[in-house]
Amino acid sequence: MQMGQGFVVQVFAIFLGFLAIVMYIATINEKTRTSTFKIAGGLLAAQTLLITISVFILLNALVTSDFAYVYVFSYTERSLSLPYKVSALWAGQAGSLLFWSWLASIFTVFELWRIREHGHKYQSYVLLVSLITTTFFLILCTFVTNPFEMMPFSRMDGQGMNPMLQNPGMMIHPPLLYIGFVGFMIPFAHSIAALNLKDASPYWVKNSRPWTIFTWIFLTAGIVLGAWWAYVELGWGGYWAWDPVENASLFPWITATAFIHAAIIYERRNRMKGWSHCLSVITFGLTVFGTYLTRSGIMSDSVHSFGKSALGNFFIFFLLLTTAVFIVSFYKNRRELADKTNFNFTSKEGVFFLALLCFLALTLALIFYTMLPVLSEIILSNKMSVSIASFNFVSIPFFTVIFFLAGIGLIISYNKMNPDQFVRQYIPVLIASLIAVAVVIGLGFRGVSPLVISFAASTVFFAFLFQGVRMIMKSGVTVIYNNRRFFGAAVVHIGLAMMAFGVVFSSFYSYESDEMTSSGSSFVFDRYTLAVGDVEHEDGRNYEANYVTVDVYQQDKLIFTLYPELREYYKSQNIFGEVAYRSMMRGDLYTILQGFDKGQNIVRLSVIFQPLIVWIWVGSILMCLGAAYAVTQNKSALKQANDSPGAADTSKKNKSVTKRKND
Amino acid sequence: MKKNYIKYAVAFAVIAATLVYFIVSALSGEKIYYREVGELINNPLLAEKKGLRISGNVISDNFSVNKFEKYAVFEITDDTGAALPVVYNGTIPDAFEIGAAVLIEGSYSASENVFTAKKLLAKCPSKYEAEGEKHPDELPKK
Repeated sequence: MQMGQGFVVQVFAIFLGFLAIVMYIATINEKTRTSTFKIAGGLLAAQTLLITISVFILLNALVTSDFAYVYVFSYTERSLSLPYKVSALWAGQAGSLLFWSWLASIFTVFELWRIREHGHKYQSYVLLVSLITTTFFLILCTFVTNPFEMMPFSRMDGQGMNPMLQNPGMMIHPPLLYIGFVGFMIPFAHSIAALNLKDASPYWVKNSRPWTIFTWIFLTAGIVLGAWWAYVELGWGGYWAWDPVENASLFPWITATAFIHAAIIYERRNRMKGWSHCLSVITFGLTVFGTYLTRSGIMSDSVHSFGKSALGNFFIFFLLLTTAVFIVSFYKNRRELADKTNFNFTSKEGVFFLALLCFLALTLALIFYTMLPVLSEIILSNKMSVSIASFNFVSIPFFTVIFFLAGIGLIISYNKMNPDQFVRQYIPVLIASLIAVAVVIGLGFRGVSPLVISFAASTVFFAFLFQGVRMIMKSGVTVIYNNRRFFGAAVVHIGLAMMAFGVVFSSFYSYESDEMTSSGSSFVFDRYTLAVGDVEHEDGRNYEANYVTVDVYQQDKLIFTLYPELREYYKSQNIFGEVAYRSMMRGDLYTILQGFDKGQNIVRLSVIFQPLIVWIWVGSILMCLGAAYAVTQNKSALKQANDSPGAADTSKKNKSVTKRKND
Repeated sequence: MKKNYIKYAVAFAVIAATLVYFIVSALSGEKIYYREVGELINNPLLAEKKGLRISGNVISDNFSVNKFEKYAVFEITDDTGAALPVVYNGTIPDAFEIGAAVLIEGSYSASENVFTAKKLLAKCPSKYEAEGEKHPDELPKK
């Protein structure tokens, strides 16, 4: 197997990584001078530079269509447009691993700069964990599956990119997700540093909070974008199939959300330390586990995966190593991490505790259902799986309880609930939510499950809305800026409520119709009349297509036109349906051209109406924007405690934590 | 301190019980069993299960598909070489063609030797090839 120049660069980068690792270990064991520590930092930066160079070598090959590389041949073709040639960087196994290690190295060198004022040992632990992760992924894409492998003989053109990936959403979905995975390496690294330096203060969670939120935002965006892509591209009207690869991205998202909440208690009440540490390693572990599920091929019956690969064993090894390191570090600290006093269940701490249990239990159930085929084959020699209905069945109650806890948790005070304050502030929330559900019922929607979830989601919405209004009335409009942490969080939770409505309504209340119609005729669907036009032909850049014009009327007025089409890409002999849909606030009208026969003048159309589906996308944007707004404020806990609701007992407020210069 | 242990225990127990309930209900509910093509052909008794999921590759024998009418009649095979006749009614996925790797879900009639598929999924012509997939060497030279 011949390798291109990039290979040499990669090997050198791995070598530098090993050197830096050794130097940081020496710094931790105090067996060396300060200069070694500084050199390690230099080597780390050099590794990042080398990985960047190798990425540019690969990018250059892709953009110039250098088919001497197997990777370029496999995933691109000359007629592919430029943005997609670039996105081929992460389209294949080898390239995406290089991309992962590149992201990890950039994050690491950024962290090197960001925490430069901290103690050397603290820095060493953080950077050591990050370096080991980066170097691990680099080893995978250098020695196990390398994008710089050369073709044995030259080619005039490549195999082309899978048409399903030729979509703007699919271009940015992997980078967003990868940032959302790789970023959790840093909070975990801080956790290890704090544990090994026996620091039980909230220092490490406050320090790594910007990373946690930043990563969470990208993970949210990546997951939702994947769902959106499935919705507009795959043409089955759905956006989430509980496929193992989809689930793999959801697991760390749930535990990261739990971690964010545990960290709040850690920061403000100096409790839930053990939880925070555990959740950081669980989240990091799940990001690696997620990529393992996708690439190892063990979920061979997922529509996303193929065959078996040797990568699996490497990931298992890495996960075991991570777990072992964490358990040892945690065990050394078990006494310092324990809570000194009890908490009441009727307090913010108690509600957060219950919510964390729900998050974890849900994740466990989903992991179990996802891994059932693999587990049942090993244990029972009888491979089985659960239906999609089971996934929905388990998610609904857990999310419903979590929504209720979110509303209650906001209003209930720390340490011990103040009954008067709680009742005074929660009753309006309940009333408003009941009115909201009454409106929904009045509009004709029925069903116990959807209405209960809608009620629960409404309590989240109104709890945060009313609290925001209360704060503005008390302290003026400037509080929106002065307390960005709260208002950002409020927008996140309001976005969450919107998403919940979007998911519930599009799942429970969508309907479809399969029409055998013809050019020139029309039919009624929902409140619309669809007039079917002629089937016409079009030549695209690397495909040819047949599309039909569908004029959509509402009460005799033409409101928009849709062009569902069937496309055949030249490189593939397959025919792909391109869905045509229109998003409206009340829902999406979604059309699929199933087939046509010009001779007999038959056109077969599927039409689906999905209520409120756009609320999912809008809600997720709110979640990301809200979190971004909140993370711009990273001040001491003291100010927030004054502004938070029901601060009845302030005697146990957290002292602000000072930076440590000497470890 | 003792009082709180009880509270913790209660909370954990409730969540754990809920979890166990879900796991048990999922396992005793409608399950789908995986079978290989070869297994099914040679042991028709396995077919008594309601939900079967089989993966295989579509071969060219007896291949007939009409996306328009939404039906397909085809045969799939696995590494044993055994061929399973399949009949499917429903939306034909874009990636479905001769040679495609597919997942079918449904039931098998041993007497008629035909698998009636309720679901047909064609595997995403994915970005991640495994080793053992066609290496460019094996492709016909242009």
